[in-house]
Amino acid sequence: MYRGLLWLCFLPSLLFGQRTDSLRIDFRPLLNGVALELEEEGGASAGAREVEVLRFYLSELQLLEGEEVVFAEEDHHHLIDAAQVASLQLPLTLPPGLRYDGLRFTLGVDSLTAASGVFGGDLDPTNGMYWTWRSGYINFKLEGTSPDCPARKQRFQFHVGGFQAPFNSERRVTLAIKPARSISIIIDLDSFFAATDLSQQYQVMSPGELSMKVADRLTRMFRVE
Amino acid sequence: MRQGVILLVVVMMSGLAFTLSSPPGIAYPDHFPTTAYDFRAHPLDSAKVQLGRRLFYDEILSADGTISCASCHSPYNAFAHTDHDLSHGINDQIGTRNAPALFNLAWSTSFHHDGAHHSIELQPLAPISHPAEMGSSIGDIVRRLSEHAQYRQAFSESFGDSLVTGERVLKALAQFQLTLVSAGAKYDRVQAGKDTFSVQEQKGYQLFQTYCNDCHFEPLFTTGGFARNGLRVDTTLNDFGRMMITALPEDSLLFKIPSLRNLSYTHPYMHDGRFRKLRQVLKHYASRDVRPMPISANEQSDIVAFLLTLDDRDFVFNRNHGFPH
Repeated sequence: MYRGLLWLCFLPSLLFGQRTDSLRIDFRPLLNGVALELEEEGGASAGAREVEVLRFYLSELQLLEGEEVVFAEEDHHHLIDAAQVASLQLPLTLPPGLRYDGLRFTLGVDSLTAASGVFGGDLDPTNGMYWTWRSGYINFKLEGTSPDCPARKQRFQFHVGGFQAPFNSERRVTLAIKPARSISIIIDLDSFFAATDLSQQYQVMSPGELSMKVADRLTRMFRVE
Repeated sequence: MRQGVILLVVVMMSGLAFTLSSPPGIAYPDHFPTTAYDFRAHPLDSAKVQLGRRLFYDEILSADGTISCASCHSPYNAFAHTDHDLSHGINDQIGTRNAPALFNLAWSTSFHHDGAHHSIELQPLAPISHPAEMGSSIGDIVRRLSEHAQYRQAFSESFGDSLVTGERVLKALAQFQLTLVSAGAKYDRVQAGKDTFSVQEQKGYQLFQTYCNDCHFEPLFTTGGFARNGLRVDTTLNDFGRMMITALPEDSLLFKIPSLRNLSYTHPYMHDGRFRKLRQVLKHYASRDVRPMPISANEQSDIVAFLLTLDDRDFVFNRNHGFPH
């Protein structure tokens, strides 16, 4: 009798256990061609470019086959923080045998969510990713030091956000991928710095024309390994 | 057994009565439009309202424990800051704008004189974080409240467990502020057919409808939009209003249209508090550089007489949203 009940308990897992596939997305930030190590002391080594903060929102994650969306994560906002190793991995549970050849996501909090009220979890304002002086999430924070940056203590600070036209900084990123157990996505900081003259552009704190340009540049850091 | 059944029935009926007598939102008269805030999605909850009320009046929100929301939004001034053209925060620092009165916020879709915030739930982040206001942060507030046994208890009663989060603090503050409804002025009694205007008030009402109602739209006495009211820039402040938020040149000198309710309690006036008397405001509109209004001194008096019918004494002295005891 009891053994029967026990067996019954396992029945669902026997029936449904194999009915999902998994896909793990690993984000790998690269600086100077090697895995990013966050500089926490604040520009310790002289002469080198350092990154202290790399933190961004990722939402509306989708898998595509051609132009068709075959998988979509609803109402999910991930706060990805290079300082929190666990946040660099996104495990997805997919229907078995799902065919896909593309990955698409929004860099930032979608404007509908940004236009609504307060939320908890990754969207809680205690995460320091909501502007206080005005409405809106900071979609992307990139901070550090660089010898060519003329600001105080050679600091560059890019706080890219804004959800209202004409300065909406949310961006879609689409990458070609192949079905696998896991895929690695490079966040190529070198490509950002190659395209950014830190002696001229080193500070973005509000939505505007410069934040729009920087938002475009940030999307180009993402590529499949 | 029978007593138990009767008790059960009584409990069920009282539950039903509570449901019927407690709409998900706030009470307001028939001549008011429906609220902009979605009370169906976010119904009011009395425990959360009381928690928000307590937070609103508590200096624990500021960095040095000296400033509460009510420091600059006093209930006796319709939640404005009487006699202060610019409000002051921690360490006696002076800000750059006149603290706006707080009422009928459930109808508002933007907050601050420049509309910097669009959500009543997230707006408190601004005064909490501003170095010249509370000089704190939502993270620090969560830490301070988490160490406070009575607050943990209050969060437990409001949210089911004692965890303090930024979301919960802000939700509670919003819930309290949404209950601040000013709809009991003489004007409202006239609208309901329970009172009549004097001859002068009636004349003032007609002039108001001709010259003021486009922006200060009845019955909330604001469209909720932004307007350029012809004030010259105070060069000690250089406040260009909405442009500082949108970065769009066409928004230069646009300021949010304030409600005209409770003016007797909310002086001084305008975004920088430059006018101490209502008569000075009327004089400005009659003499400004662009589109001065052809209103004589007598007509200005009539308009003021009408505006005083928008004072809501019951709201200002309502103990339900006063300092918690």
